[in-house]
Amino acid sequence: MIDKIKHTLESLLLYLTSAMLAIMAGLMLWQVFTRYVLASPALYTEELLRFMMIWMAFLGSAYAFGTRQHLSLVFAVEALSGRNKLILMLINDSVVLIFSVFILFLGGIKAVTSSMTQFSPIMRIPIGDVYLIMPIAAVLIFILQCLNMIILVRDSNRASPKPAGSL
Amino acid sequence: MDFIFDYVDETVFASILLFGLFFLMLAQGIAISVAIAVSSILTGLFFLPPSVAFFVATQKMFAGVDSFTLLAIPFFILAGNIMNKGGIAIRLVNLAKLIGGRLPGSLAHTNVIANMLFGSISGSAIAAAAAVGGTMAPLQKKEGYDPTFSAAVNIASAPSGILIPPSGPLILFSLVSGGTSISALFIGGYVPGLLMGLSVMIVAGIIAKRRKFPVSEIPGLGEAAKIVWQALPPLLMVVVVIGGIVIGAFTATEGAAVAVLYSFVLSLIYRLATWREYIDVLKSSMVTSAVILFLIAASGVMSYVMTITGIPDAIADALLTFKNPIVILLIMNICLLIIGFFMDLTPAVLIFTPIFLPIAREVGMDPVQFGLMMIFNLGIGSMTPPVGSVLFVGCSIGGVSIEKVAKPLLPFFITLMIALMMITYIPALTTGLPRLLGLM
Repeated sequence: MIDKIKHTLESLLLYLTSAMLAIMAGLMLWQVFTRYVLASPALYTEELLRFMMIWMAFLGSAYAFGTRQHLSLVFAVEALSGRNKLILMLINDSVVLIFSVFILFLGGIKAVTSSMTQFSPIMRIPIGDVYLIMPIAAVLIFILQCLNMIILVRDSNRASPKPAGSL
Repeated sequence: MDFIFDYVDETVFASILLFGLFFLMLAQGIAISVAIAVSSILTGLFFLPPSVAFFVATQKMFAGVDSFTLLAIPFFILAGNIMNKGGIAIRLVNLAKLIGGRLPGSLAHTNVIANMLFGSISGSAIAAAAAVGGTMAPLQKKEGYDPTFSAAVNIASAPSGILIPPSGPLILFSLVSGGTSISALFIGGYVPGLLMGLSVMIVAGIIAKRRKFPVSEIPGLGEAAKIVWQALPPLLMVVVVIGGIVIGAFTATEGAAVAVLYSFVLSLIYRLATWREYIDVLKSSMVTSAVILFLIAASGVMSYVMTITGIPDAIADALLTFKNPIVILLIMNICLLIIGFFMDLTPAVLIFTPIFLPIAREVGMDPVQFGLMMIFNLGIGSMTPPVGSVLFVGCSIGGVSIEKVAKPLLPFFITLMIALMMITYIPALTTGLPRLLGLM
């Protein structure tokens, strides 16, 4: 059940962000085309592309947290085994939770509310709407990271059926 | 918590706390981006009220990736990954064999030259190490090359691709350094990239001569023409994309998108990939980009906290007491080499550019030269254990263990160090070409 929720959420994020990357490449080429061939450059593309990249970056990061693809040093974790390894991994994962709550979520909400009255110069989008990706990413990272931790604990119980004395 | 500052200097306290926490979190295996952001915010909490600190951190993260130029990075990653899909690498390897075939240990030279050629169409050392190494390893095995030697040659020469344009790390440097000209960095990268390749070839040649490695047969004229003809379409991308960026026909970002189109059309014509594979390429490019962009966002928080606590100034003051520019540059290089042992290139560029660039400027070094020196240095770092992305990829593609490849790698560091010193102390090597073309 947990695996299914996690898998569905991750696939959703992966396909969404991959599509965004393809659309971004297309939009960028459209900008070059309008400038050279139509001789009247599309103005909205530059702003739209910037905002899309920010959204892709944060949504893609949430996916990368879920699948543990962010760069990290694995020596300490690999050097440990059994219970100690599990504890260190859970500590590390909790730091990510703290990060998502305090910086991305609380800071993000404040950034959203304080910039709703500012508008982007070309498309006239409230900057707050663009900032909205930070609390959204925070919630996604929080959910995926919690699922990761649950799976970690569950699998460690399942994988080590040995008596507790051996740990 | 101001009472602490009655006893210690604010900046000293901040730097110990910031770097102490950062390296602790790094060592215990927390994602580098999170380690950067959390260590910075914890340090920031001593200087700012909590509500302000979290809010500012979010803003700095957002501002870190709110850049149009930055878009070039995902696009170049995508273009490189499309090029990486088989087919293209073998064409470049064949051409490289034609160029380096007559030297002793010809397949080693072929590998180095192919890495440089691959670097000229892709901006990533890892892509080169994987694509070229993957094509070369079976060939070298067939001719009786020691697999650890082959892997070492591949690893030591792959980072030349991040000096030879297009280059993701150079775009990154341009951004963190406050807008150093990408055209100048790109053109300036050719000579250091060639130097890196040559350094590897000299050592490989000496070893090959001693061990009497075979020299390949020279193909006939007709065969040679065919090889050149087949390698031409991928290499023409250099003319279109790098040429276009340098003459100002388009920006680096637009050039990167053109590179995506070019490599896509090329792979369609050659029928190199299925639609499924294109989707996989999109997915993997997105993840790589998101990880890098998130690191950039997190570094925004760190550079802000460093600025408000005056850390870069304090380090600059300490280093500048040496007065002698030669010594200062030497110390900087040693620091970067040590950093390279433990940190990947991207976070190292993000964290240490704001610290070292002002010092380099102070001793009269041009930002273009500094950037190329730093990328060259950290490129060496990417092949050194324990942490080296090129080392990891090169070992896994060559099917050898990291411990086994460490020894055959050692001799290459001698010439690479000499090349690094040349780049550090001879400005003309890096700024000569861009000046000649009027880019700086």
